[in-house]
Amino acid sequence: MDYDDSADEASFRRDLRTWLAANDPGPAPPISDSAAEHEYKKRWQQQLYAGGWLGLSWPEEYGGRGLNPFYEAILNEELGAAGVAHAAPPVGWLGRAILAYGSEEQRRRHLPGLLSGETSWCQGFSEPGAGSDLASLRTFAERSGDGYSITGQKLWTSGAQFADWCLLLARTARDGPKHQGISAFTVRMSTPGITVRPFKQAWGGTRFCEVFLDGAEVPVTDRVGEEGDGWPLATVVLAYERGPSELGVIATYRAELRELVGRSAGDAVAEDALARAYVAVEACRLHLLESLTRRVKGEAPGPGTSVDKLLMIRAEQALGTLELDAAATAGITGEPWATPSRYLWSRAASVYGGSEQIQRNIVAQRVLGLPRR
Amino acid sequence: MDVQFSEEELLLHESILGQAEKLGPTSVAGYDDFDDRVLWERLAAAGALGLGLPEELGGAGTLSDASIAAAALGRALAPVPYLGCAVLPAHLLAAAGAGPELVDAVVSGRRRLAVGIDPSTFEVASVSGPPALAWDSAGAEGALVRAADGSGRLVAVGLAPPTPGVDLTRHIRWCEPHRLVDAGDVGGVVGADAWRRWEAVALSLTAADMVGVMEGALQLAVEHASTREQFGVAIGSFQAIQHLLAEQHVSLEGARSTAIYAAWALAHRELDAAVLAAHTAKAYCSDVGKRLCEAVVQVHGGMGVTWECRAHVFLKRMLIDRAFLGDERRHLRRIADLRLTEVGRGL
Repeated sequence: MDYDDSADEASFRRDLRTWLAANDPGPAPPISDSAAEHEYKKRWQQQLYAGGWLGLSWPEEYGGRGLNPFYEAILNEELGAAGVAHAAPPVGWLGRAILAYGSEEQRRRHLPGLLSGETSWCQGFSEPGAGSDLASLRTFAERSGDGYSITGQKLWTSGAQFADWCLLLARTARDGPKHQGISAFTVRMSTPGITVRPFKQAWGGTRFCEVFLDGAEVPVTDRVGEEGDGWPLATVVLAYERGPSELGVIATYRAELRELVGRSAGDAVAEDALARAYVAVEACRLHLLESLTRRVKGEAPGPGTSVDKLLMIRAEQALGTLELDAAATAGITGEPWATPSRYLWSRAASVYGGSEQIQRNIVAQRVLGLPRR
Repeated sequence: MDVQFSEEELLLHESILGQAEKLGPTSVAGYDDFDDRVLWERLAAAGALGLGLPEELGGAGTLSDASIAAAALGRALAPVPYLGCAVLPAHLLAAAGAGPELVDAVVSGRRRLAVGIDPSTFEVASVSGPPALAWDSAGAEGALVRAADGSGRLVAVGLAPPTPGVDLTRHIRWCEPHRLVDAGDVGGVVGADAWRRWEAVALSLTAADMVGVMEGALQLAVEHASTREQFGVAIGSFQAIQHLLAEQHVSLEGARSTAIYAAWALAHRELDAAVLAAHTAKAYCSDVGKRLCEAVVQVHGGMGVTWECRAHVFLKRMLIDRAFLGDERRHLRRIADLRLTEVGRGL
């Protein structure tokens, strides 16, 4: 049991702090301005990449540094401690899928640009009729000659309006078990037949989009893995999305706690709620470190990542509520300095990446071993 | 970083759990007048009573080991005063610089001393203060409390017979401050930092006991839900039961993480950070532990409130652990006080 940095980790952390002190990305735009947010994150990703801080645990031949995942955790912690966000966490999840299922050619073609921020990506999984029941997705990829013709509709596709590429799931078999007929594709967003329509969220931004595909032609060389590999690939992406790569959120939570401490001083009820949120964040942080250790020791992310996700939801929503309460009346009237957008975004935490209820199903059936019906 | 139990630590847990299950009561009725001497001697012989103390005082291992042992005993609902009559008095005596013979007598299991706590302040009681309780004091000849002169020295006082007590697995007794007990060389003044550190040890290890109780209770509920049938199927296949138990599992995982870290921090972090980690663990475990045990009773249906079912034994041990040294309300307040002083210094 050792929560301390090794000598190498400590030296990495020192270098990173020095670099961060000299490379401030400036204040983040509000989450209600999605275009500004995208530009800001893209620029920051390119800056981090130029500094050599991205792809730490990716193999060196694809632009990474070949370090163990603890270094990703240190990066996340320090970014949060410096009060800046991680560039674009989905880079990690999508990269994992391409690393695990992509061909050598696909890895070389996509991973460096994904990492450097030269290309922007989105994740085309959910559909209007396939949310929690993702495997019931209906977008279809019809094989024709050297390619596929893809028709269907995607929903909740974050950042689709800014993306150059999409990692897309589509059905390639009309019959058979629904989990088996799904395949994954890298799709150029400029492909004829693709229409993107951003829509407005409760907190005012337009991060989410609908994506319509009407006979979009995709070459067979852009299929990731074999036909039918889509479901296990999606499982990899979602497990990483729910798991300890999210340690960066902890640093963000801590920064928020620090800010809230200043606003609640002297209010005993708020202070106790703050202490409760602190405790929830700590439980989540410490558990993520255990999960990360298992990852470093070679264990693939499994159903246990749902426990991390559920602990994150508790912490995130406790903080969101605190921010709403701290803003008091101003939060309701929407004073510009206290819009409850952070609180509203926290309500999405129990939906994105697989809803809280789906996570509980996973824990009950695959961790506790309770019987399925 | 390497946040995982070592092979040795896992073996320690397995060994203590195995002993406790083998030598402990096999039914709820077995807790009546249970003779704990054989299990106590086994724990002493295994060196479990002195975990985290220096070798020259008869100790061995680390406080993380003590935390692992406490969790194993909590899980087994072991009716032995491991924390109350061994680890906590031994660490208090060590803090006072007590004679090695006395500490050795405690950690070798030959003498049982408890610690008297003022139930209104949750601090170690004073001879001249309000009536004090000795938690987890089965078989103890006396309890350590602060001397009347306010110097911070320890004295040992007598103990009344056990109260009826809600916890079937451990005894609670009132201190008899007018009856001094000759405990031998109990050492000198316990300094301010040493009191804080002792409290952090007590909180961290109590949190570990709570983690064990949660593990045992949840396991009981999962087994019940997997076998009990209604409407022609195991009730564990119903989503209402699955989600209730899944949430408890998440709580248990979070609780375990806070308790493991709190024990580790005592040896590897500055005192302030270790104290904060101890309050964090005690607050979190008190909060989620009670709810977990209540859920376990609920999943058992009518069975859950019968004397024969162990669900209430887990709940009661949890309630006493939660009350010992204060429940989550006290520790959340302490965290708020500690953290507010840290504004501007970062976390």
